[in-house]
Amino acid sequence: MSRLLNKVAIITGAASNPSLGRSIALRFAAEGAKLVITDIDEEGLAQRQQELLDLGAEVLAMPQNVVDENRWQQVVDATVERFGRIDILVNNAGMVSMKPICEYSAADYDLQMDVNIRSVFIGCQKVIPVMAKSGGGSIVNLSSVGGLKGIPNVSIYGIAKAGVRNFSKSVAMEYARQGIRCNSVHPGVIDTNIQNVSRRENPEGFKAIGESIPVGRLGRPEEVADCVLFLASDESSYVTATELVVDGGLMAQ
Amino acid sequence: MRFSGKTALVTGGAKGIGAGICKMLVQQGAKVIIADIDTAAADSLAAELGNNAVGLQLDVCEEGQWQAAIDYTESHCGQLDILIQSAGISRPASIEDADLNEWRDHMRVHGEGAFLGCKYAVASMKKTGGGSIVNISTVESIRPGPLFTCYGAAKAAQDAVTKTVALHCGEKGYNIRCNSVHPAATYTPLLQQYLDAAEDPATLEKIYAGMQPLNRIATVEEVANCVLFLASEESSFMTGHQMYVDGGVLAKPYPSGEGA
Repeated sequence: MSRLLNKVAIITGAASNPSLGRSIALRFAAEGAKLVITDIDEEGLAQRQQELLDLGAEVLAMPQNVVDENRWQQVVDATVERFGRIDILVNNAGMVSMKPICEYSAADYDLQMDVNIRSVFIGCQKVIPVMAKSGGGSIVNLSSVGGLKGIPNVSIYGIAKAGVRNFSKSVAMEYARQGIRCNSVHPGVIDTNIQNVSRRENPEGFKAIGESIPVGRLGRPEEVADCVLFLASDESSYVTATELVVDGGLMAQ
Repeated sequence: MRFSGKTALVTGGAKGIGAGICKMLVQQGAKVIIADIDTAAADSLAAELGNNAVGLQLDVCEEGQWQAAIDYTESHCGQLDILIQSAGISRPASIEDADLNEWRDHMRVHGEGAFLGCKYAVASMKKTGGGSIVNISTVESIRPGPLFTCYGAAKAAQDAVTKTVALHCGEKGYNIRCNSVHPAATYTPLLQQYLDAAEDPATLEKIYAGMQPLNRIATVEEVANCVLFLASEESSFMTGHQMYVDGGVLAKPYPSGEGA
């Protein structure tokens, strides 16, 4: 398979297992991409790097706090130094902490907004000029169904993910003429580590959402990875400024 | 190959986007039934595509022909795995210029056609463990322009069919997914008709292109790629979704462009 042959992709938040980032990295590797994977979890990142090397992929792994602007610049510079270009950016790193609105602190707000949306803003800012220089590319930002509708106890995450959706459209508008496409992916309830937080901290809400999925099951990380692959590849060359909802029909209701 | 062992029925498959989808499906291993009201054109494309394609008479407004198309598929190909509904008409007219016959024609082809197609496909697919239905819609169902009273309304009706089929099949556990694809201006024979009818085709082409942030008109292959993604197992957790293939135009606050 070679749908991303010789394309250079940066994927943030790739360490956790099971996770969307890991599945995206594995899928991209299987399609021939050269990978730069980052995560704040250095140990998990090293495991992912080994896993990808074992598959024969070309991989650069860089520990990264996606909120840190200087570190973003280092990741971009190291990518260019190693691979010469950037074709694909997947802003996947994210976090969620669940509470009713009146119980959140200002620090809760700042942290979730920083990790979920400031990171995407900085990442795009740093990557776009490099992408434009080599004739364009594809940016895929992970949002959520939580960025489309109101879900109890994830209000801050919801603000940030709605922001990711709209920011993706702004990127698409501003850089379309430079060959850069930008879209958001909106997973519903996917069976990853982040759902374990949900299971633990908001069991009733988790159960309710699970029961409301029309296809009657949670999604698998691989199913989201396939959607990200489609948007990252040239098969979606006319798709920009839009959302791909991967939710088993949750949002169609 | 991606569609090895799969059988797809494509309505409006003889020309335009439908024909592009048929070609790509055959290239990627599917058996394809090119269903079209223009049987001669369907047969001719089938001959071009070889042994894995066959032409079939289908007026999507005729329930009896749907029954016959599904019977043919089941008896000759074993089972129906993929239904692509690409048959359509579009004759732009404002509320003042369109008459009731125009309204009924559009509603019949898009509304009744999608209804019947989904009804018969679901009945067939649920017997064999599932499938994928992709309905070709349009950006005009989401943001209709002033000349798309009939077309926009008919496609919006089709969109509602898409979503309700997705929800019903999900709840029933049929493993049948149903999604729609929403192209903007695409290089098809229909677009060529619009261009040919214009006083200055080159200027009109530039206007159409300029409406999209990507500043160009889509190719049939670009739309077909999206349709094949939704038809394939790669989109196994997507259902009831409206996928825009529009060069970004629906994300703009207004539809006009720098060419306009």
